[in-house]
Amino acid sequence: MSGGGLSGLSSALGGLGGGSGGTASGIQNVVQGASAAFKDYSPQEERELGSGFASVLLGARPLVRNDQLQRYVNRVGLWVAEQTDSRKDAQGRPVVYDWRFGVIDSDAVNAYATPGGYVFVTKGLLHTLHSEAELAGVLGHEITHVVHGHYLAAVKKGGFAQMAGGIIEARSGNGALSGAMINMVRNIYAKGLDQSDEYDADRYGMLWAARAGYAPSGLIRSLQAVAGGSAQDANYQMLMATHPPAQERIARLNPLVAGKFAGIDGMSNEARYRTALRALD
Amino acid sequence: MTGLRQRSGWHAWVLAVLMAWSLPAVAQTHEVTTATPLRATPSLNSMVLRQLAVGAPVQAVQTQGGWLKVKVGEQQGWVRLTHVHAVAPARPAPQGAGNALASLFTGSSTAPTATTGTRGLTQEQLANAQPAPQEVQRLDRYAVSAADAGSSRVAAGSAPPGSATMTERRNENHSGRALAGHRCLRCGAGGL
Repeated sequence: MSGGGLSGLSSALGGLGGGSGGTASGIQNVVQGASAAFKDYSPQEERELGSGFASVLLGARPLVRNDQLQRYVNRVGLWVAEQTDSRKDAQGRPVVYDWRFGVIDSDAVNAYATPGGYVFVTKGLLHTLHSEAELAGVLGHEITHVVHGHYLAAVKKGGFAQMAGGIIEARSGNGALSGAMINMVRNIYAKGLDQSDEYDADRYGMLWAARAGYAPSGLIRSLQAVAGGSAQDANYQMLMATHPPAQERIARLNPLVAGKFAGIDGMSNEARYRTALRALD
Repeated sequence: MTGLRQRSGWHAWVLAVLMAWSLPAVAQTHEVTTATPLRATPSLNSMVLRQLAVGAPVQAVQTQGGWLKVKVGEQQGWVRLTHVHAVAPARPAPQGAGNALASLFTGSSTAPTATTGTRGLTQEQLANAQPAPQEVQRLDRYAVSAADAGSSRVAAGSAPPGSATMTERRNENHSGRALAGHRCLRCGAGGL
């Protein structure tokens, strides 16, 4: 199954340690923390929890009403998601995510994920990016939050395990979420994830996008694009409040892009991206 | 002719992608964030044309791997991609109420102005969010199949319809997910 060109890539990624300043054991800790969080939920439960998260998020702003654009983002996203390494559930079976991607009708510049395979980008973000490779990098970042259990870790760390259980129960019985459950979801998105999980998502997001055939520099280009925003701009407020500074994220990706990824060009698909975005206007 | 194209189809496609890739992107102003040499070619061993100080403005021409080709005045050369950042994102001006709001943010206020009623997704809007399960259900209508995702991925904008795509080759040769990734990486990068 494995082998070929990618084994080199994977080992390159492992060999880079924690980027600037971290150690290989730092990465190990992140991964172990995530798998510990996964143990608390079956894939079905994780999905129910995710649909509860998505429902609150989409309650803040709805989806863009444009089937063509939504399917375009789903095609790019699913292709990138298919490149991830599969995780085994408690019974040793590979976990298969039923991925759903959506464009939120918002001028804010941001992207979100939920447990269980929901991934969202805002219309404002799509306008800020320039190519499909950049979009693939962003989606790869969000996909990592899902497959590495970063949101589950945030639930656990926040002491919300019981509340999360309530959401799963409510969603599987088609019931409504209580005020406290809604508050928990709002809280998690407002607070954001662990900063180390954001850097982890950057590294792996770049890997998945590269496996999909995209220019690994896409994620860096996307960070450079959002780095042009101002914290005074309400459209960047959430992104900047919940993520490490773009310049620091770029700096930490430098060893990857200047190292083992240096010889890989990949696709950027600027023209197709521009065509897809025309549907927005 | 047709037979030839079928056989060389994916090679032609990869070439087309690479050619499209090397076309100059829309020139965008970048700023040097780490003092860095401007080099003649995208390689650490290449000749240094000049030194660029932090804050120096450069025009992006194209990317290649971890390198960005830039114009500095009349001079062209290569800098490490991670040593610059875009200064002004190429965003279309917000329309309608957005313009008025955008001008508010450039004022002296240090706190972002509340944008309730606009199309932001602010802390405030999040704090008032009520579940919208019908929106979650709506996502199902946008879902695509794995085959659809794969075919669109490889049939890049410039690929002629009907040319051999990665998905076709994937269907011939593979069934595993990881293998698809391997294949694509080879085509997109190692293949040439």
